[in-house]
Amino acid sequence: MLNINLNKILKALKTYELNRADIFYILSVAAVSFGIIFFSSFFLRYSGDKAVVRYNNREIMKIDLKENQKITLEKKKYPLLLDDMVIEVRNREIAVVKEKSPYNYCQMTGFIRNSSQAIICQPNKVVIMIEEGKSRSEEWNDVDITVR
Amino acid sequence: MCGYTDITEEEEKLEKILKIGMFLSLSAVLQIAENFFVIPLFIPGVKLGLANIVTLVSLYVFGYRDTLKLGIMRVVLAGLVKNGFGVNFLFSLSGVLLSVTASALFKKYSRMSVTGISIAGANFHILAQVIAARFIYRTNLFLVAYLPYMLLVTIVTGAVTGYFGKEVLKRIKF
Repeated sequence: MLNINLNKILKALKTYELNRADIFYILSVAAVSFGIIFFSSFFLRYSGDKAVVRYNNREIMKIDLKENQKITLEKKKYPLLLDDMVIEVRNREIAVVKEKSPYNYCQMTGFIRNSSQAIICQPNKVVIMIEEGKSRSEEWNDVDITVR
Repeated sequence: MCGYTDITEEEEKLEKILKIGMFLSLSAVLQIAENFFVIPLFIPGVKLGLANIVTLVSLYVFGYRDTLKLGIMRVVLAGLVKNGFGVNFLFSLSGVLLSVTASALFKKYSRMSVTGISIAGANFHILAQVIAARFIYRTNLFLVAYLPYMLLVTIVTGAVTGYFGKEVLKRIKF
């Protein structure tokens, strides 16, 4: 099994004609990427209680994430929208569940709950971000644990 | 004799302009064609960057300065034809400026192959776009959320475009 995998890797390296410098570069980038993922998942994920909705680069509303709800942005009120847009809040997470755009990228983003994430609907000129709250490490510090 | 030399220089200039024009039209066509292929990934908006094949070949054929001009012209052309000069234009421009500069530096100062240079170009392209997004949308920690995943994805997309670039360089004569 290991031989097959090694052969596949060697074949791929031959196909792409990668040399040592390339492999060193790729491994370095991969290491940095995994390092950031690991570091950010423990220290830099800030959850928040409110989401900010910006339309055409100005804030139009703040949404409470503690309450499950559905909000519709109407094209009548916001003419740069391609169609009505539906935003859903569920279990302290927020997503765009209905929108009209060429590739539906912002619907594909799904639910977000950290201030390090954002839903960007460029064709509709809408950006949804979560207001910075507490980091995960701060949340841990807030939990009172008594060991006896 | 002196006149003959002048004509040759002019001819050379004209030939270069024609070639760059050809590269520009090819990259514009590839950029438009790319819109028909959406890569189904958990990160929205990932593209192969087919136009970067032309940028890569141009870097080896014409060098840094002409490739940078070509990249800027492609972005302006895309702005005129399709995207306009809004946020998308700023994203594309920042991506081209950093990726071409980084690719040229790697080409000059490292022993990386064509595929490796393409991967580095793709990495720096996305790095520039994420930094631009950070300033345009004023999102906190946007870099941390998307950058590592995008870097990993662009290793693959850069390798694919690099492979095509390498094959093109083997087959064309300039």
